[in-house]
Amino acid sequence: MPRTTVLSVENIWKYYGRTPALRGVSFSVREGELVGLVGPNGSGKTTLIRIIVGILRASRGRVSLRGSDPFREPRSREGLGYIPERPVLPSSMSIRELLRTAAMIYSHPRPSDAAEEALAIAGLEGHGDKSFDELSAGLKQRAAIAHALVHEPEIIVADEPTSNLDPVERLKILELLADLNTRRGLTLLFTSHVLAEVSRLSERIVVLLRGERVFYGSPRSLVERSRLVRVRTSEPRRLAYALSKLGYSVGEEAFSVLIRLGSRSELGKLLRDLSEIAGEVPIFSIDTVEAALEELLRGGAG
Amino acid sequence: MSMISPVSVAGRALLALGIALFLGGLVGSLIGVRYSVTLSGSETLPEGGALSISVYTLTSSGRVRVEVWNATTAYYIAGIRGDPRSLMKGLEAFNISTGNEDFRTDFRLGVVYGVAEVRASRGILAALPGLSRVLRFNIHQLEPVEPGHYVLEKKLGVNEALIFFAVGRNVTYSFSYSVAEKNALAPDTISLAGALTSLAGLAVLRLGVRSGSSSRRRGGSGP
Amino acid sequence: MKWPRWVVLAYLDFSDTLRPGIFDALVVTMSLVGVVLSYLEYFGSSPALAMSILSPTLLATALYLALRSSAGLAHMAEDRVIDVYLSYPLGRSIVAGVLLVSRVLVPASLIILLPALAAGVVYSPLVGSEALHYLEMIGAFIVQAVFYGLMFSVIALFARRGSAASIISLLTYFVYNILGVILSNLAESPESLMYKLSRSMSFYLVVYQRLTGVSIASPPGTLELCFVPCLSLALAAGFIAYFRGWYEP
Repeated sequence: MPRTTVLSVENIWKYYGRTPALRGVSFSVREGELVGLVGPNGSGKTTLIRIIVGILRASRGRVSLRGSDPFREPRSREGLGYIPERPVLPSSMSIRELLRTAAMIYSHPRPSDAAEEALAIAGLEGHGDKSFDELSAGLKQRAAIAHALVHEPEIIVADEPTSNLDPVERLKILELLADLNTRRGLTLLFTSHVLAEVSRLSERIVVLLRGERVFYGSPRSLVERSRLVRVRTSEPRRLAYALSKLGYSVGEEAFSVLIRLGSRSELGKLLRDLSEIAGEVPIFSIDTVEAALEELLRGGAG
Repeated sequence: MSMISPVSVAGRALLALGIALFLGGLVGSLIGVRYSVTLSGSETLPEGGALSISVYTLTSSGRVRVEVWNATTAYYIAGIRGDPRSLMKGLEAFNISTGNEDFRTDFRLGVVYGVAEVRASRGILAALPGLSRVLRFNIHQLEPVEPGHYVLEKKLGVNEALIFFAVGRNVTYSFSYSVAEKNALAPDTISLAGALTSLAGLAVLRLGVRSGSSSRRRGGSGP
Repeated sequence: MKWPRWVVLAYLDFSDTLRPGIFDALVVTMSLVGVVLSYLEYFGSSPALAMSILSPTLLATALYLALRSSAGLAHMAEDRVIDVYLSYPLGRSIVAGVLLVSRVLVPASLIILLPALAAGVVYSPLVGSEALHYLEMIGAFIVQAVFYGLMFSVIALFARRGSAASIISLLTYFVYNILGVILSNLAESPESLMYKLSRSMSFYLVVYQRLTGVSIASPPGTLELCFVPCLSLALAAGFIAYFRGWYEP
């Protein structure tokens, strides 16, 4: 049975003065889907997210969230949970009270229970009586997630939900979101500038560059079409020399070597060659994912 | 973490009101309450001169008593709305001018009062009652209670003025003004009311905290 | 019991605007000033009592609204708390209305009302006999304070930065009041249009003069009486319309 479309973004343009921040972006999110919005800083991710939530107005184009325009129709935001870029919530009351109040705004039948459940899901047990300002960066992020979850939404729109977090916290938050998607069938649209993070979770990704959609599809298809591989090492000069002797087109960077393959099928050979070189030159990681995004953002794909 | 609810706002408002009343009552006791003022003295005036005593209520209403001795004649103008000094200015057109003015504004009684020397020729002052029609005020001549001794008692409403003229060479005067009603409660009563209101505020705040926590335990859903 | 959503949002916003601290200190101070002034001055009429007690309170309220409410509103946009409000399933006009009630109407009313109440307790024998006049004067001062608050709220929508909003609001307040003084000084007579315009700019003065008849000019007419309330309605309508259709934090 085909999944219904929860969010559709059609040819969205947004101007700040005469400068376009978004240029005809289109994509859709289906029920239960996990979609990632990727792009470098200033690519228009936050502007797009704020248009989707109904905070900003599109200059041109149409956004349909649960069947209506989120800027004009409050009911379209009924099943929406929003996690803003910088986690920010009113800090004039305790997190528990705030969650209870938020649940009441969404007409939740049992606001106190909803608040306790959201606190538990977001891992905020023991912190419910603190105000938002009293929480650490990681806990603030969790509080924002709890706030987005308290009314049991159908879709969560999260803007950089893992920014400003340490790697361990990042992983925990991502696991939490993935878990909500798997266990509750929650639809999720989230932004990040880390493709590896997005591709781990998302079924489809939208890549923005200077306000324009430059890729829309599965992360796998993005990676598969890429011919760039980045190898991290402490001795980039020696590694670049060894690989160029084997006929690879290489570029040396501060702590890595960027290899451009003639075709994707050469990847197997490269890995074998690297395993041999690894005995002489220390190799820390081999990355094809971020390199694929880099290739795309440098104008290698469309 | 403090919580805002109608109960807690009411409690805080009562507490604020109580503290203000309590402290205000204490300050009121220190500065005291005044309901009347008196002024007396004597003036040596030039030939044909007169003494004027003016009173102008700002925010209060009350009773004026003016008494003069050694005066040859006395007049008064009552029922003036607003500042009487503008009327005195108007008299300059009839060669009646004032000098040596000593006016005092008493905010504690809501009244302006003072004495001034009136300079005019004897003939003009004698003709003062005749100016009534021109000035659109009735200028009344007083009858002495005994030779040279004149007494005037009048009630004044809010924003009402009275001017008293006494003609003579060495006029002794006495002026008093007392408010019509003691409208303010005594400071001690206010302090007591403040203390009780503060206690009521604290009680309401405690009630708010208790009902807030029990409503959370019950899973209550009221803001 | 299920509360209407706008009531819950107002409750959420009140927790910021009525946060204990500065607000309580201001209310206590102004109420104390009210009680002390009641003992320093004698009042024979309740409008005179209200006029004397609430004139300094109005200044304090205007400063509070400029420094706290207007700056707070702009600050909400600056640190994006307003995004949270706008993500709730409430119409934008409702959010705008709630902000005006919570950031202007309620604080302004409380700051005016409590000193009036305190002075009313001290002068209870007088106020008891002229309660209606006293209430009319309190209402007039609240209308004037709300008018200032509405001006500052409109400024906050455009200023976007809390500090800028408070500075522009303060400047607007002083310019408005200085303009009133200039107009009254430029007026050739108390019956001239300029004098009447300057008088209309202070709603409480118009009400006071109508109640007491204390005026160097003829008693204020209906047009003068409607000036500030009509401007306030226009500002509130403008705020809500702009917030609904165009406002982007």
